[in-house]
Amino acid sequence: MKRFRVVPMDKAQEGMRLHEELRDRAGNVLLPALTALTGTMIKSLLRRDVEALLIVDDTITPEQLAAERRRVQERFDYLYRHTESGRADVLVRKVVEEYRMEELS
Amino acid sequence: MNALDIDQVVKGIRDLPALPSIVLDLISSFEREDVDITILAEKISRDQALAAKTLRLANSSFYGLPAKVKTVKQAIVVLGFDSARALAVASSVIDSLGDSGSRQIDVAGFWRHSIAAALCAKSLARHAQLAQDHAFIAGLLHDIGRLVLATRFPDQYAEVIDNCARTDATLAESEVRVLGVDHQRVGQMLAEAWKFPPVIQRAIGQHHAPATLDLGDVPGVVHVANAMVHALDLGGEEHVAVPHVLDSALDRLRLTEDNLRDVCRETEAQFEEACRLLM
Repeated sequence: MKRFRVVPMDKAQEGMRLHEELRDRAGNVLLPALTALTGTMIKSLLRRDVEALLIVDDTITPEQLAAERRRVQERFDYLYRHTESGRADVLVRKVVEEYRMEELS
Repeated sequence: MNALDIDQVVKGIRDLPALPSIVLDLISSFEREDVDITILAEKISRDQALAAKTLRLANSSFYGLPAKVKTVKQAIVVLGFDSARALAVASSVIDSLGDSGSRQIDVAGFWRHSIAAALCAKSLARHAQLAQDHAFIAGLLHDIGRLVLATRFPDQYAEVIDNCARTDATLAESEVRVLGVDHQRVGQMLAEAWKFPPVIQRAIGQHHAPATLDLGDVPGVVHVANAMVHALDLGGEEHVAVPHVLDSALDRLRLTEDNLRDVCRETEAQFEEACRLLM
């Protein structure tokens, strides 16, 4: 489940929130994640030839999120069904699981 | 009894589609210090398909270069020779073996997992201050033995898949049980035949259990990367499992929890674009 939708720049509206930080082609951060767009920002991004934005999808309900978290948890349990629980196994699982769940929080 | 003898495997490797000679030249240059970049750029330029692909890669948002690159030489200068070579070799290998029409494995899922492992290994190598492009190629090719076995020995490999499904054994266990050889060994043989540097051969041949002396080098990186991308579940293959990670691999590579978190982010950020460009 994606917590964002791709919005073409000419459809961007004030109040939409960026899903992740926006960078230019050289890798410089233009705007941080979760910035709420203002009219000035939209004009500036249009001038910079930004083509599209990843916008937080507010249409996903808490129930859908909870169901997705359960699905991801079950998938982790399946993927780790053979794995020994050594220190490195536990650490890799913890990091990846937190990374995945962070997207769904 | 379906066990393969080594001669059959060698013949299977010999029967694979040949890589273009320029790609074999690029592979052999991995270990040479006296590489003449101008000559290699000219050779790549003469291979239209490879030249076009190199320019497409260089001009993709993957690299985010501020200005458009128009010649192979410019691409090499801007990307760096090591990166340009790794991408050229990667795209050629995928082109040569990519659409092998195997019924026994999901080829698209196979390459998606391999590309994810390449990106993850490159990112891990950066954090561990190791050769990133060696890690990228070794990550990309770590499972190549699976493709060789599934395409050259489809009937025997169907039994491997069946054995996996019936017993829920790991793929490598089922391969040894049915064929007497696993994809690590076959991949290493192919890497030897293509004359990749020994460290890349070992990274492919021992990705489930690198030798102790290799844990702090590219084989250790690929070992960790394979587990991480299985945990990230990027390949899209249904019946897979995360393999064991040796504690000593993380220790020898000096990778911290924060490093691993960054690697997840970096791998996934580049993944779809890399698949689009390379597949």
